[in-house]
Amino acid sequence: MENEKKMITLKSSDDVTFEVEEAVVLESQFLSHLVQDCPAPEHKIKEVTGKILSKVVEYCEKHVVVVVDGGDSSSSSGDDLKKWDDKFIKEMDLSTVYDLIAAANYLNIQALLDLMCQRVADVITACKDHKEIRETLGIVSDYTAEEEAEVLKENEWAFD
Amino acid sequence: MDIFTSKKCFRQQTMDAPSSAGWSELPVDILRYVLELLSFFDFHRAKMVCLNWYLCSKQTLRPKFRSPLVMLCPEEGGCRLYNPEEDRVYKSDLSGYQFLGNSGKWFLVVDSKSDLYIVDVFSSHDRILLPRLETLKGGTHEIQRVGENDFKENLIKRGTAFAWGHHTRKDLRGLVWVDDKNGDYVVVWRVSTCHYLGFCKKGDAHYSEITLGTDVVRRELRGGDDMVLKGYNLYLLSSRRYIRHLDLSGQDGSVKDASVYHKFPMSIPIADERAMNAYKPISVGNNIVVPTSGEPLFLYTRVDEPTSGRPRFFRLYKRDAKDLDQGTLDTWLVEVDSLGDEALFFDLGITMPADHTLGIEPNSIYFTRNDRRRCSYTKGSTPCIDVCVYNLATKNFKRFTSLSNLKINDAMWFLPS
Repeated sequence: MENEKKMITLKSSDDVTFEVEEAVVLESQFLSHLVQDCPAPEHKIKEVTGKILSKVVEYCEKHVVVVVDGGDSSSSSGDDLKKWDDKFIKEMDLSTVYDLIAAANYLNIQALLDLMCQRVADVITACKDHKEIRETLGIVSDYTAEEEAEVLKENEWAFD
Repeated sequence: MDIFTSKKCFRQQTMDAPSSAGWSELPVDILRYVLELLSFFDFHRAKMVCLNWYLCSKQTLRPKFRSPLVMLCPEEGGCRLYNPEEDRVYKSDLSGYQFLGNSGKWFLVVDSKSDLYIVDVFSSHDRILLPRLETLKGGTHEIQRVGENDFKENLIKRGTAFAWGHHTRKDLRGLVWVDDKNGDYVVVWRVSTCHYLGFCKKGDAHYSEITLGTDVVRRELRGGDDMVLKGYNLYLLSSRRYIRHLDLSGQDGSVKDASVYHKFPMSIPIADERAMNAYKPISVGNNIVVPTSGEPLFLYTRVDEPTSGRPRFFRLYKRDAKDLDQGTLDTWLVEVDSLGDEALFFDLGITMPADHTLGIEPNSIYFTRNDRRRCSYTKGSTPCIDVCVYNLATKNFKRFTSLSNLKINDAMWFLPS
């Protein structure tokens, strides 16, 4: 039993370090390849800041624990996890969501990416029209007046 | 779906601008993924946000949205679209129209000047003006307009016009079929319970008359108690309960009779009839339904007075296979218990393959009202509008919460293919 719990250190772009179990790292396809290919104890992830990496680690740790515990796949652990996910995204501001999408995409963590995309979809759904979507997400429309009128025409029925 | 293909460009971007600079610049694959999570309506709203999102929406591999919607005409005017999937009512900019029929997203409507149009329900600017009703030709009737809402109907006999009937816009009934591939269409209308129909196809400048009266050689095929249009095929339920099948695909208003010859009418078994008539009805419908394959079915629906304690019911029948046998001397309709994997759209008079992923319930009847295609004979009777989905297996009705608070004058199911 050489590795009861093999620990790996991740270092963010701004040099914040996180010590995590190997199982946590395996949640990310990108990191599991990295760990396999280069067995160094510390891995620098230049593309992700400490703030975001801490969220990624938090998410992966939670999900690893449940998978290990839930060997009998009891439904309550699934429900708990869902509740945890809900809380996790609800407390997050949109700029963090954006950065987490980037990080999840880069680190290849499908479940986290799904969760974040769902959050964006929910935000869009909660908006009453395209103007509110723009406001919420801080998007400046790049339509010309004619284009906008054209698309609006295509779409008029969709507005309450 | 692989949403990682754009990783390279995303990585680049996040390295250059690690903050949330660009929701509008989300990589196409991620944005597409987000857009695919949206409901039909939110999806269309989202594409208004910016050019990038719009372009992305065009690339989205979204299955064609075909889940059934309801077109509503509330008492207070205007039009609404109801999406049962979300239990949500949307405003539509189609106002001032009376709806006659639909084919996918195309609706046959009549406006306050009694002009007929085919309109795209999602874009009222997209509409086709149809010939005026008084262009009706080729038969024994002529229509004269009296003001905007009223029509006089004259019967022409030996060159002389006899005043026959007087109708209003409210008495109009109509059907439409639009070919999504090339935009060809066919429109059929009638006024009240009159003995003729008008029809036109794309390119026609006038309507051609189809007689339902004594000019029909086969006596049993006279009359039009119900009508269903499926492609260029028009099915009519005769007064004596035979099916008259007309092929309208010919040139220059020509009509080909394609009716199957039956010796006997479609009669509901006497025992059924007795059981049905146990109470006084408020609303009764005798309709035909054209299935995806095979001969038309007969659908009976009825609501009895509240004291009966009996909910609305539907009975679906088909002809007995032995009907076509020369030796058959007596025959009754046979009840159909199940539509299998098909759904029946009462407003259209047809069945369609159902698909759970598209939100179409199999073995169900999508219902709104039973006088869509024919005026009720009883003057002053109010239409019984009941937006529901009836499941033939469980015999349960599904009704919709958001609609229960709405006072509606009309409702129509459609499939926005």
